[in-house]
Amino acid sequence: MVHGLFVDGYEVKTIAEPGRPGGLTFVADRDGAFHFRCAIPCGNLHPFMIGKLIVGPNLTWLRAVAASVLATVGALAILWRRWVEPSLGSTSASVGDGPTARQSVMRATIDLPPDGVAPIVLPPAASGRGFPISDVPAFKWLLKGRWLQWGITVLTLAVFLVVILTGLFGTPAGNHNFGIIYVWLVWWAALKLFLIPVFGRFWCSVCPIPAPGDWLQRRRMIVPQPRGKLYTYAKTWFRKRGLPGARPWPKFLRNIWAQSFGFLAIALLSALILTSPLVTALTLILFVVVSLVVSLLFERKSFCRYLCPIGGFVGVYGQVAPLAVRVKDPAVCAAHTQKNCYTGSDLGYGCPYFNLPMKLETNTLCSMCGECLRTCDRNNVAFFVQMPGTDLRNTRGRRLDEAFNGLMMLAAAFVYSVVLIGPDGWLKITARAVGSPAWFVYAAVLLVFCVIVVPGLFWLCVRLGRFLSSEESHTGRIVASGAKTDSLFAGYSTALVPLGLAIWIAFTLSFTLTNISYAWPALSDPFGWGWNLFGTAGMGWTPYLSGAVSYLQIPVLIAGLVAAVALTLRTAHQHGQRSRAALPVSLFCMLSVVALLTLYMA
Amino acid sequence: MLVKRRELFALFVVVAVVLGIPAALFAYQAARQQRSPDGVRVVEMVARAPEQGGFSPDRLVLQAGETVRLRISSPDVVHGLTIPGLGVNVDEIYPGKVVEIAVRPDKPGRYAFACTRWCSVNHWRMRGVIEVVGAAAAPAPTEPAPLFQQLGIDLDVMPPTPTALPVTRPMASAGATLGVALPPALADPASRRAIAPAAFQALRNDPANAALSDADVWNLVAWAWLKDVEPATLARAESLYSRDCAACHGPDGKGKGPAGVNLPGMVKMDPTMPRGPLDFTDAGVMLAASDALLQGKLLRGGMGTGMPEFGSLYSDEELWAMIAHLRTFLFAK
Repeated sequence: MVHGLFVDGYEVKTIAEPGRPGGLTFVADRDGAFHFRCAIPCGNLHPFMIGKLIVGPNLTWLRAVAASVLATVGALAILWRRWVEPSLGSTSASVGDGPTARQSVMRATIDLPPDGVAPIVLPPAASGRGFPISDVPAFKWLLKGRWLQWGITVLTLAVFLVVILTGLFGTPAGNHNFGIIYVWLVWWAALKLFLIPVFGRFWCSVCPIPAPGDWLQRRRMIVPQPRGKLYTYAKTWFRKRGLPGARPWPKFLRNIWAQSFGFLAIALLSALILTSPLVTALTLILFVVVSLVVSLLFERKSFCRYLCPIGGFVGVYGQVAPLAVRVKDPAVCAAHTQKNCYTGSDLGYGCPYFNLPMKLETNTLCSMCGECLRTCDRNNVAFFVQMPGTDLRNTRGRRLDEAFNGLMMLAAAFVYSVVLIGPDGWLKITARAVGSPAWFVYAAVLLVFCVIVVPGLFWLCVRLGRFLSSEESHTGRIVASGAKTDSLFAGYSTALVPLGLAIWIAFTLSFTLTNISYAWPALSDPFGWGWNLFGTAGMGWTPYLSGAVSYLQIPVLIAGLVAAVALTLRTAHQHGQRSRAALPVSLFCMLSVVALLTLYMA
Repeated sequence: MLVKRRELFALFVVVAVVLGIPAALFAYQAARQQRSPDGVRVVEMVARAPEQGGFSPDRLVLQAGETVRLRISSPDVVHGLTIPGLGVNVDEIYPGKVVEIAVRPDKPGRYAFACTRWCSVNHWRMRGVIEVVGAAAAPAPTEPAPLFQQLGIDLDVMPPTPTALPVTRPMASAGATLGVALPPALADPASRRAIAPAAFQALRNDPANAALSDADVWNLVAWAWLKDVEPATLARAESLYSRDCAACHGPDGKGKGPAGVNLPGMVKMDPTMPRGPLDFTDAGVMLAASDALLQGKLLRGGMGTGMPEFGSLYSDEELWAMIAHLRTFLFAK
């Protein structure tokens, strides 16, 4: 079969045909590790036909590893003394969770520093939520109105339709199919590199998947129904006894566990989904159908909030975003008994994500649809521009399902890096042979790694930290005093948010910059039917910045690592542990980055 | 009724998008697929790896004198297309791209077409045929039977290994400068093709050549077998070899090409059959075989060995040139 060879960094290309020995001469004058890859489409797994060229002494890798060790040590040294705010609020509790919601555990300060070092007390953060950007008249008009969100949704819906059509009817050659290119390269890269880090979960409110169900529930697009009424088709037999409206989402599913496991299920099939336009289209259609059925039977956006495999990690990673919807003054909310923002009013619908805005402390469960901005008749809700990572400042009262999501996403990033970017062709074929005996082994290994190995290692690190702290933990006393248990494990998992996002960005950068040049021909010839709508159909495959990818990845990884280490110390301090309790988890974070650097660069 | 108007507008836009986009896309494609303004018929052809079905359609019926626009696409890997009888050669059918060519067969007949890029181990099975029917089908001129049939050569019986083999590589150019007249049977291409290069023995025994060393007689043999082909034709054969043969027989002719390693049907065959693609540098085999025998092998193929037939793809001139090229693995030019 005809293959090609392209060496990243040196940007030399040749073609290899059976029986025609090809050759390539270049001077290896740059040290480091360079991926070389097939340059001629050779089948579905072609984008993943990758090898590695090491030009010794590979100082770039050594420097990157040294930098991550130094960054860890530096961050630990600088933040070793405790930084504690006087008052900590609750996190991500929402009304929809009803009585099971893990309400705030701690409002009290940590009064007794166990290691006797006086805390550095920061000024209360409440005064500074950030800048209420929705108070700027132009933004207010845009965000309060419904045309913007509707307009973007119609656009994404249009693109989505083309994706489905090209997936169903277009060429099975993924590189030249609009569906594959615009979902797994363009949208995925936009989500990881841009939408989540800047806009948090905003994508969810313009996502085309729930749009049909949403519009059917509201039976309106622009002008809200009186009192924010929603229409569902829960029949008598499907109604919950005693409730007039839609069936409430089952209590045991009111968490993001289903989203995490949904993502894992997709990860198991990803070698197939990523490379087959038809399977991609069918998967997306399945999403739309499930979302439609759920929204016709259940309350509000139950699919997006509790089921969507993408929504889970978008929410968790969205905590780093500098944009947030929060209330301006909690006292105003406390005095306001109607809670239009939750129930809905003539001005708009109750929060589609079952949030009570006054309880919002993180972006995790907020899609920034602006519904509360519209319904609040006291102008007490705003879009804030805040310091990135503000949502992570409180490590108390964290939820286990979100912690697991962070761990699973971290593990999945490693699996993808090994299976898709790694050199093992047999592994790739196994991963794509869904249903074969070997694939079941692969699936079992993947699940054990993501569900048991990585979370288990993290749990061990947290336990080791407690052992190192070796004093009756502050948390223990709080538990004894009757408050709900506060998970130290979940608290430490906040560190996985910047770390995991950085690792995903590094993975996405390498994959996207290499292949994004397929986006131009796919735009002109979405089906691979020989069209040339915009004159770009003839543009060939050219990896962008192939020599610079590692220099983009390294700073991102180091920044994520520093933030993660800072959060481990913060967790230790906020949970009343000594600083050294943070060491094992910091080490876990550092080794994750070193392992990823080694996978890519050595 | 501002409310209603806004809602209706929004609904209208969404319905227009949902219905309009598929409609527009498919209408555009339908318009493209229709006869072009010049009335040319468009035939869609998909080229897949042979395990996935090869060319579809792999049989086309055209009218003589009719122009047809072939639109060929590949869903998997890079393929190529050659229709030797119609002078069509497409080097690359890139997956996801569409290649358009106009075909206008003038004479009725059967025209074979084939893939020209090694798209899988079964690449050589990827063939098809265009049948051209004419309104007034002139009776096809009867072609003479190929030489190996005229001579009654049994292609499956290998001639015995010659007793005398060259010690050094024979050189045709050295043979040409000797100034020795070849016997008429070797000087004339038509009769020479029936003779195997093992004819060395006859030349050696010829008293006229008594003064020549063994090596010079071998040079003479090399010249006799290469002299009939023009350098340009030989170069054409070389490129055909690299396109069609090298994957199995290897670029050096030693039969160790990457595609020839595990040919289907090779392992369980009759143990007396060759164990892999023929080594063209093997003097014992190549010197025992006449050009006519080699022509037969090329025309008929290897009968279960994975060696395809090239009779339907190569012209007579190309066949003889290819045989001369095969000789160059043993004889230097």
